Amino acid sequence: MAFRLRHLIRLAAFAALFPAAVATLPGQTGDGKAPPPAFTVCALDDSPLWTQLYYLPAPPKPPVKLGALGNRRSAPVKITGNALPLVFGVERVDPETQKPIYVPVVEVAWPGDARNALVILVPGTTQTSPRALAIDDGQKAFPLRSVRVFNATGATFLARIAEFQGELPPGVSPAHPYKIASETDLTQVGAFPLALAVNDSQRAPRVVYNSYADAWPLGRSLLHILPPAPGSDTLRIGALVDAPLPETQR
Amino acid sequence: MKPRAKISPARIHSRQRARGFALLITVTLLAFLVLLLVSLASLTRVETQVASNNQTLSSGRANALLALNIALGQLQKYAGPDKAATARADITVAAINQPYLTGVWKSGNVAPTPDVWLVSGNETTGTTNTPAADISGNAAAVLLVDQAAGGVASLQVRALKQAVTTSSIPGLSGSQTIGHFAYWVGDEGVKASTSLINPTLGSSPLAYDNTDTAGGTGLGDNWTSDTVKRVRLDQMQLARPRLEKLFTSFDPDGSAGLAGLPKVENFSQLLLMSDSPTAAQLKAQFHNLTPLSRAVLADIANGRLKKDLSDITTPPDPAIGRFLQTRVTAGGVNTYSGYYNPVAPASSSATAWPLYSLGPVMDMMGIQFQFYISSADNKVHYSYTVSAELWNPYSAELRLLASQPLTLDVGGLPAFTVKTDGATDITFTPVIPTLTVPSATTWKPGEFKTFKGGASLGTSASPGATFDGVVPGAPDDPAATVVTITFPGTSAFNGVLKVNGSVLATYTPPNTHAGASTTTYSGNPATPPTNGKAAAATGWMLGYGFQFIDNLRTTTSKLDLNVYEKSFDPRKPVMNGYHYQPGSTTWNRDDPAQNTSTSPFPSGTYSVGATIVLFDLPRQEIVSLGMLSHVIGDQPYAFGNSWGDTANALFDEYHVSTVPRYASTWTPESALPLPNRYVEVYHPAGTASIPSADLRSSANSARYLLQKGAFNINSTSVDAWKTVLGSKLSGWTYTSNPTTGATATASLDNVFFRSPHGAQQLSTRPPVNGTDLDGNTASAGSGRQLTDNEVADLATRIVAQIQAQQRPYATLKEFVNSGALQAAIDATTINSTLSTGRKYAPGGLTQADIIRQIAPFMTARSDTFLIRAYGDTQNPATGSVDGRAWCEAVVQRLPDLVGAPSAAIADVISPNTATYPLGRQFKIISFRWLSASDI
Repeated sequence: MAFRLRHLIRLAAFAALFPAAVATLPGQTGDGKAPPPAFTVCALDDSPLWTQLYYLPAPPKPPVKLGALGNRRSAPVKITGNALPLVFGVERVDPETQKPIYVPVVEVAWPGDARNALVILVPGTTQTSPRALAIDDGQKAFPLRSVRVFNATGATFLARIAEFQGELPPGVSPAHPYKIASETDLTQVGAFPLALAVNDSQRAPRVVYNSYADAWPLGRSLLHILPPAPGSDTLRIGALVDAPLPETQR
Repeated sequence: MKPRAKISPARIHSRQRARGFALLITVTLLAFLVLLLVSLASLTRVETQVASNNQTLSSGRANALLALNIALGQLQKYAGPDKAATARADITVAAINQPYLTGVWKSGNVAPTPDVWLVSGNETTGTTNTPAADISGNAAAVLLVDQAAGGVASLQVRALKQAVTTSSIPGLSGSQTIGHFAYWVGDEGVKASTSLINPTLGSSPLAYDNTDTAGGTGLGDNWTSDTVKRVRLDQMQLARPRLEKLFTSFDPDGSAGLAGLPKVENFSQLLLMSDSPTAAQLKAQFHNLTPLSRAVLADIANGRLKKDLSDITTPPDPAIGRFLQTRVTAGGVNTYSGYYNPVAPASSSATAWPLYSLGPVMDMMGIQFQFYISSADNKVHYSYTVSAELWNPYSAELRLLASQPLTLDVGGLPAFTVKTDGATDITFTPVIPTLTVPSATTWKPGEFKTFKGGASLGTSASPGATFDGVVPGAPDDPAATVVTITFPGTSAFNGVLKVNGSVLATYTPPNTHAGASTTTYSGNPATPPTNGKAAAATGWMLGYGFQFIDNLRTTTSKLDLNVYEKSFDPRKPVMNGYHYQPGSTTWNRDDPAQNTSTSPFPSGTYSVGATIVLFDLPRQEIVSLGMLSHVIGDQPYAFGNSWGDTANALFDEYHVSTVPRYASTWTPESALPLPNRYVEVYHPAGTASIPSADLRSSANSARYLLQKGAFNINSTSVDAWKTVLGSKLSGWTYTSNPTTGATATASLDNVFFRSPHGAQQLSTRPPVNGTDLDGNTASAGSGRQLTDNEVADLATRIVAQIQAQQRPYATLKEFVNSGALQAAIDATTINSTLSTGRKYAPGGLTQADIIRQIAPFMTARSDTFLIRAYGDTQNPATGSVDGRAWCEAVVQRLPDLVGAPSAAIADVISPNTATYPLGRQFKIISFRWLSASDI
């Protein structure tokens, strides 16, 4: 009886401590403190604004220049203090003081309780008004060997993405896992299907894109679908691939 | 002595009665005599009058024959030589007083005024009487076409009478007018021929075996057993003139039409058909229809007879020869299926028309790299993958042969500089080994397939092995955590497709990445760059690639929008022009670092899922020169379109006789039909038999042939043009399901085939407005159908274009290069529902599509003419016209030279104009006298 009781106590203690341990694990650092939230930025499509963009943390912290962002992720930017939502702006010269000032051009809410976020920037209707979207960049929401799709067209597609088949509404899709070419040779890059169709009310459903994307053994992919460029009727499809580091190392 | 006999009283009375009878007889006889004299006098008077009338009629007829002979002489003088063009007067000005006069423009005359108007009064100067003159109220004008055209004023033809004079009338001094003559020469070549039927439906279809069983060339066709080939003839040329477009109740394909039309000698005989048009309908078409127009196969540009393209032993160019000898290999899901194997060009550096090669087209190629420090050996590794999209632009399958592999060589990469923390720079240029396309690959018509791999090439769904290796010379550097790569731009990046080791095509986009500055990139191994080692690469660091401009017009028309959007024939062996996408989300020209997409295959026009069938290849003997529009040139579809330029001279120089080369049953005297239904054998008078060698030689065959149903493209008859725009094919069968091979039947109307040979292998039938024309339908089909309204509109616009020229096109080359037909198409709404990029796709109608269909019978001049002549006689004393006569003759120009019926064939082929100034012989082939009501 005592033996059983002792085991019950051990089980109860384990049950109580395990979730806490799991919950704090990603936030632990070498010194035992949870790392600050961090975000990376990627900018889709070409815009002269991208090279002028700053992250504007709450004063007195100085603005952080994001640098060239075209179709790749920026280096992670750590957030300290109460800096949410994220504000991005451009540098201007104050005509009176002739000192630089920073004018916000877009702000974006932090994605829920995410520890790491990916901020996606796309050009807006004018050159100085980009649109921004932040998604949970953690490995739970966006795990290794998975693909998420950012549909920036405003239209809903019928899609086949890896094993997923169904509607792809505007916005960012959940992660869809893909299979890799070889579990034993991680240098081999496989492929997963990527096909899009539109359900045109005037015409029969028609395929607008039918191809394959790289299935990286040590990576994950964020595909983006942009509307056709002016004068074209071709969707612009690209991808951001990264090898996610353990969140403790970010 | 005997006593004298006693005479009775009765006897005495009888004698008295006899004396009165004699008197009566005498009187009666005298009366008869008088009556006889009167009768004889009357008879004599009548006979004298009849004789007088006959004399005046004969004089009138003599003057009419005089007019006919003068007309014939004028025609011979001006239109006898080859280098002359003819047209109706309304080509100069649409609204002209005498639109039906015929003008002859000699070579070099580019003025609206011809050398002669073929009407009476122009015997001396040629253009004294012009169509601009209003002679309707002129007392000297006589009607030469009136009731025959329904008596409609706008269809009447008048000519001014010319006096016949003499100065030898007894009792009258000076020159006296004793009669008149007048004539008008009508151009029958600008009219539609009524007596032609679709021979595949007639009682004497092609039915002989013309396969080369002895020589084993694979050429020649068995018309007896291969019904698919026979039906295909309807797709390669106008099946027959569309009489039903003018007479809606009439069916030329009906039994009455098939039996009756070939017998029509005069177009008014159409009234005898069972479902004939009304007399009024027929008369309204007097200036639009003719029984049968024929033409000498003359090279108007060079003043000689044409050469025969059916003699493939002497093609105008070896590339055309190769094209003509190409044949599909039967095989696939049904009898319409066939495939070709890739063939390398004779010269891998040629660029100009004509070229010949056959194989998939690489519309996109790229290579992507990644560098990382391997956790396995502490050395810098590089990884790459090559992506290529190969397109079958043909209307048949493409299949690779295992014995003749299709390979891809990637070259022109720049030298990379690789450096790890503190280590020495390593400079190396990646050398990509030859990649082989999977040997079992087949492409359906118009299909795109994508391939990927590094160490080997697989499909994009199942990529070949990714290349992963140590950068040559990279040291074992356990301390290294950062690798720095310098990657410059390159303008030499290229891909070379080879078949069995021979270059099929080289793709070298100019300035591929020349705009890229030297860029340094650090990281390991993914984005964002992080330091450390990895077991394998993740993502791509940079890439080089190119893809075709995303605009189907660049491969279907002549386009020169800007420095990049220039058109090109995608099948050229040298692809180095400005027709590649300068920047896209897939392949950025200026910055290799942008080319990291995980899916390098572009979307858009040229991409997997699209079906683009642009080019056809012979599956049987061709019957139309228009097929050469599928021969490779610097621009696509050069031949037959305005951008064909010098290539279009072949329309003047060549014809396609289709005289059988191998069938022993066919002889010139056999009367068996030819595959080209618009050619017939001409047997010169005095020739015992036509020399077989001459008839089958490229140089001489035109001596013994005539163009049947010839149509002068300078025709200003809207209704005539309506009859030649588009075929009608009932019960047309095609492959509806390319996977199962299931077939379907459709009725096509006003159809133009872009791919007449492969049409039935394609699952998209020629679309028509009112259905979904655009997108894949426009690019995946074999041609286009028009509605009747579109045909009518197009015919009107064509005539407007021709009239805008104000003179006839002197040659076919000039006509084709002018783009008149394309301008007419563009003026209609035929292609208006197509997106800009697809207006020249098979679903859009182009000039070359029309030319392909009419090429067998089109000509820039006429050789058949209708002469109407008038003559009268006039009493020189009273001035009264005592007799009138009209006659009509149809005259035909023949290959024979005037005055030299036995001239050597070399002279006949290419006559010396000094020796034969009157050119080729016009011959009267029908004649009749007309009454006043026949005019």
